Amino acid sequence: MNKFFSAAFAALVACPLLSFSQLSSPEYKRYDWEAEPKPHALSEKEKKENAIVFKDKRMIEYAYNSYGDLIIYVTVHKIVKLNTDKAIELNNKVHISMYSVIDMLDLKARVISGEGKITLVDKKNIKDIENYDNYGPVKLFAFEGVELGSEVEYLYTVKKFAQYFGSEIIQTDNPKKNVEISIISPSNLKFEAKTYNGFVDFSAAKVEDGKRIINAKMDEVPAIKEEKYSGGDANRMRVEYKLSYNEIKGNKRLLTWNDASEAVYQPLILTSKKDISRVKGILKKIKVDKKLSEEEKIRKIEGYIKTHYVIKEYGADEFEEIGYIAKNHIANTRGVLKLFLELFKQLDISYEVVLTSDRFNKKFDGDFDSWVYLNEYLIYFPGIDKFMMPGSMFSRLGFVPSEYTCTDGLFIKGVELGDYVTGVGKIKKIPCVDYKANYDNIEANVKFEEEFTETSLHVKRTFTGYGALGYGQAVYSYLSEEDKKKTVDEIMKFIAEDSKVSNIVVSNTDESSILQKPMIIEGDVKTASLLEKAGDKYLFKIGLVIGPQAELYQEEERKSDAENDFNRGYHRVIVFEIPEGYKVTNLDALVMDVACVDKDGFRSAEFKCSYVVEGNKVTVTIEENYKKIIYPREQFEDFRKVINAAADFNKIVLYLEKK
Amino acid sequence: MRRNHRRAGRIILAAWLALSADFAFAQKTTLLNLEEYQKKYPEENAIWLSKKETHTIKLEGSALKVYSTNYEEMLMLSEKGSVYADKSIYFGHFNKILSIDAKTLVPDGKGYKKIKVNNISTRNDVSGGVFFDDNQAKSFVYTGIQPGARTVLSYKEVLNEPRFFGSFFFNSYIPTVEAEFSVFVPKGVKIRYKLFGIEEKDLEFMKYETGKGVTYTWRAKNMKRYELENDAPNIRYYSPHVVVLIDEYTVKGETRKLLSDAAALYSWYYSLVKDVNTDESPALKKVVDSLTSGTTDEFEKVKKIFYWVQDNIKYVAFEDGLGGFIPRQAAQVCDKRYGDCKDMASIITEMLTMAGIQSHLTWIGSRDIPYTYDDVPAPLADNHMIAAYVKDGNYYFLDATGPNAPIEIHTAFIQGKEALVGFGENKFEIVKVPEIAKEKNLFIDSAMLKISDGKLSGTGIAVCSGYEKIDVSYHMKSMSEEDKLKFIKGYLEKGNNKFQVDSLQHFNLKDREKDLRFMYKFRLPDYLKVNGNELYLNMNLDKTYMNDLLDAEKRKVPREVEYKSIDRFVTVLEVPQGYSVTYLPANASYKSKYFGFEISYFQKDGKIYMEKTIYIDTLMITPADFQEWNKMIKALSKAYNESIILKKTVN
Repeated sequence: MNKFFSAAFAALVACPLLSFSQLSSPEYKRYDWEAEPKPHALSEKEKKENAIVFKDKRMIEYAYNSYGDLIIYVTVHKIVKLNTDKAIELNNKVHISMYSVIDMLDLKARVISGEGKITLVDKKNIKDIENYDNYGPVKLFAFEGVELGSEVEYLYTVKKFAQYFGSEIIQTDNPKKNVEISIISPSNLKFEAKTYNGFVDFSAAKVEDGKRIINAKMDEVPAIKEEKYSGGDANRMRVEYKLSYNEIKGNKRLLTWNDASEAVYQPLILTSKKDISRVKGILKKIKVDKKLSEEEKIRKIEGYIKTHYVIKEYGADEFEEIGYIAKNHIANTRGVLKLFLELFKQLDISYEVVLTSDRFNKKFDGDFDSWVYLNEYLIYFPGIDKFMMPGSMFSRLGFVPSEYTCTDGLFIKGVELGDYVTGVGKIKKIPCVDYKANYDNIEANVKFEEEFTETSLHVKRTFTGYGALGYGQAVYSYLSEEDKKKTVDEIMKFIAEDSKVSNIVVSNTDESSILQKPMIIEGDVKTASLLEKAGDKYLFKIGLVIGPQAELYQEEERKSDAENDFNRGYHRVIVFEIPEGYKVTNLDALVMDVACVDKDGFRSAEFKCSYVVEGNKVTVTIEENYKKIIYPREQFEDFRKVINAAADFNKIVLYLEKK
Repeated sequence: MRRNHRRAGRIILAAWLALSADFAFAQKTTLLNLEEYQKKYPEENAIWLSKKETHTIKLEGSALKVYSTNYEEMLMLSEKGSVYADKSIYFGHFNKILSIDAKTLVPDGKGYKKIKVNNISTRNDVSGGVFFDDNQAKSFVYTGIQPGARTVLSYKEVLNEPRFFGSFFFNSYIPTVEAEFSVFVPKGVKIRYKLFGIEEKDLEFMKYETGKGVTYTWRAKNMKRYELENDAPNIRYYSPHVVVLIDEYTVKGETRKLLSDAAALYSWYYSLVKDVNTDESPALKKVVDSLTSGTTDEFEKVKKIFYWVQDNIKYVAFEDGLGGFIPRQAAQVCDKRYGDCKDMASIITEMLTMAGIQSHLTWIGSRDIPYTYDDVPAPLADNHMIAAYVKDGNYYFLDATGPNAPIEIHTAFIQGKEALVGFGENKFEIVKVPEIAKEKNLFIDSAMLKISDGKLSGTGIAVCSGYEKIDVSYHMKSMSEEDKLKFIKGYLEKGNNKFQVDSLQHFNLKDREKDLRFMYKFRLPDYLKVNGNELYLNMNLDKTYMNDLLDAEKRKVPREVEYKSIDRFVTVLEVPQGYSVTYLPANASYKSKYFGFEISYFQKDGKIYMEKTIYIDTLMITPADFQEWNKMIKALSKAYNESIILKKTVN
């Protein structure tokens, strides 16, 4: 999260008077690794894993320093047994981010071989890198003497500037044992922690020696395996924690969503007359016609700013200053957000600022007011009930990147009290975009060349919504002519790699068409891949005309719900003529209807295929729709059948025989 | 499917990164006619107006340094020029950036308004796969970019190790109006140069002599952007560039050789390694003794030691100043159990010495580098170190960075390259590393198919050897049992993506000298086609190289092949009871010097056999071969489209 709260909220954590003289020593000083470690024995099952984590202990201790400032000691202790070369490669190096670290207090590491031989990592070999590929300072070292069956162990404590929120990801692709997290604070500061995805709850707080300790311990944490169509990292066991109370400040909850709303909103609003007049100058250049509807005005503004300004996340503070932005056309997300808000204000367009998080990373949890969830900015326009993402150059109104939809967010409305401006927040849903807005359609007219050497197709592909963004509607105009051609050729080779593509016309990729009109790619495709031969019969691989389809054929026990990026539909029409003198003997192979039906009878996912014959002309119509984002685990089988129906369609072959 | 792992990693971007050296040229700041340029380059978002490097070789004390001014100027042709707003200048242990002047010239009526870049940050540039890297970058963003704007960068640097001088590419990822490289060579310094991918007549070459020395200048005009293609070799193979080397210089009447020939290069390399492994480590000696005890044959001992290093020393790359050129002590490598290529070379040679066996530190360039030592006797020609062992006049190239390989099969990426083999002070040999014959790199997959109840199932045996085996077993060895099975299923997948493996065994995974074998049972739903009384079966369950055509008209860049190989597929179908064979496709073949295939069908003892062999016998398919390649692919793809027919004879 942004830096905006660290300084502003220092007062919240004010320490009790006289406490400086009573500073108790931090816990890490009493913690150590085993003086004489023994290698851990493995069960038969464990031997099959790449690696087993035998210890994962994290201690997060908040404490006052002698100036009364709050700091954190973070202690990490890990032991990992390495069973395979891959595990060695992944674990024989350690990178420790020194971002916001004041001091590395201790760092030791050792290797315990299968026979119990111990090799300490020489502290001389711990390297410091000041700015690791722009990720900030890093300490790194490699374990020495690692063999198959070795255990690598490290223990360190860093002293950091205090942050009042934090996350710890627990679950990884290796099984873990002895997982323990403690959050320790001066007894006046109450930290709350919430666990997710099955990690054990924290204990009730224990207060000892002026310290408040909460703790969560789990003996076994299973590995999490990657699954297709899943919620991704958001499914990992994890912990979120935050500062909730400071007894000295009374029993008022701290750092609530409302506090966040105030803290976020105010600095986004321009107050300097000079800045406001700069924005007015920009507005003049955009030339927004007063007669336009609200939505048209917003689109005009969005399109102009996103094509005339560059958004860079890193960089200097001035990327947030209107003066700098107006002059240099470069801004960071907050900078461009400020610019947008003032432009909309000038046009009397009402808006709310929305903050949320990527639902494939962490699902926004409105019930736990950790500001960690306030990750990305959106703008909501209540007048037209649509969202926009200011910092995303290649998204447009109504289609913010889908990971920020179908989830909750903090909606912040501005309130003006005379000269004083502040924000009031509410948790609300950022809705999903309907499947009908996200089409990826194919119309294909198929002709068999003489002698059945090749197939010629006239193909029209139509993309809307996220489908269009996925195929580059917003990026297309940025490409060089050569790259445009290469990209489109690649898209039109979806049937077979050998396709010869010609007469391509791409429509609706100009700024005013983006997400307003469907992106259309139309042209001729010639391929030898759709026909096979068996004696004097021809096998028409009609199933390939819809391009390769995703599949879920492997049958493994499903652990998580199915989660999709966005709702979507595929409408495909394939037309072909049965050549003179030939017949097709198995047209009925084209009749399919597979659906995932909800309890209320709603077909939430479906794959339907049918055909009509008129004279020699056969028209095949395929409808495939996914109308909801999450298919719960108990519905997974039905969802799988629909996905596989499309993949099965790929295998359909029609037989062309002489009459 | 199985081809993927071979072709992975040849991502186009790699070529972009390879050309990160930057260049250019000064121009008067009169307003350019933007429209003219837009008309001339309708397809581009930006062009280089100029890229210019001006180098001055200078004697300081008794050492040579190279002072350089690098100038570059880009003209933005469209709004999208902003994608070039980010800029990084790289430096490391051997070169220092002395000053940077960067600005944007924004059109302002008759002239330009200047926007200077003030914010320059420094970061460590950690390249992929390298554990520690002392290379750094100065980075900044040009502001005020719009059509007609010109970004202008001039920076000065000094190179403290003259052996790393110098090369210059005349083209870039966008067109270049003018590219210029010039070097001032003071009296008493001798240089040599060689052009690659371009001839002197296609350049302006100038030699300007004064009392103080000679200035050489190469200038190219209107260079097209370079082509980026899949499976392309490194751009050094085809991009026009010049290499300038400093042969020698005279200081106080004494001539010091730098890079006059391979001997001079070797003499420098030797000076860097001569103090490595001077003390014997008892711990390492113990390892050597335990490995070789009971073995009398020298070659067996070499194998044991080499394989031990392959298995026990993990590859971790370092880029740490001159440390990037000096191997670590073998004892240290043994303790740590990790090291980079030269550390592995160090421990192998030291262990062999301890076993009383002679071996040699060896320098080599990977196949990414096209230079010979004759043309470029310089560190530019090398990026790798290995050990060499000679038996009866035959060289073995021991490269432990390629794990799992038998001693006869060196890493694929040094095939065909020259190796600089050290034999002590002032003694070396240049030896060509052989290309491993296709017969050594086999993949043979045989499937016995059965049809029952209209469904297809079968048993298979797959065998792989050589690089094919090394690649596959390398992937497999590092995996957990569960991941191994998944990987093999993917590797053996054939027919369609419904391929299901019911049982699977693998053999010789850990024995690097034997072929890797798989035995498996499988089902293949939806593959057999049933049409009334007839069954259609395409016996080409694997369609390797199907439609893998190369653009003979447009592509000017060769296609690199990782290794020569032979793939062989045998499919046998037991004709089911009550069916007869009514159609067998014709045999097909295409043979040429570098590649070819053969498919044949026959019937025997109630079974149908299809045998297919595909061979590739070159490491580089050049544009001259593309037509022929396409002919083969077309014939092969056509043959792939044929099915057999079985007809029901009894009801």
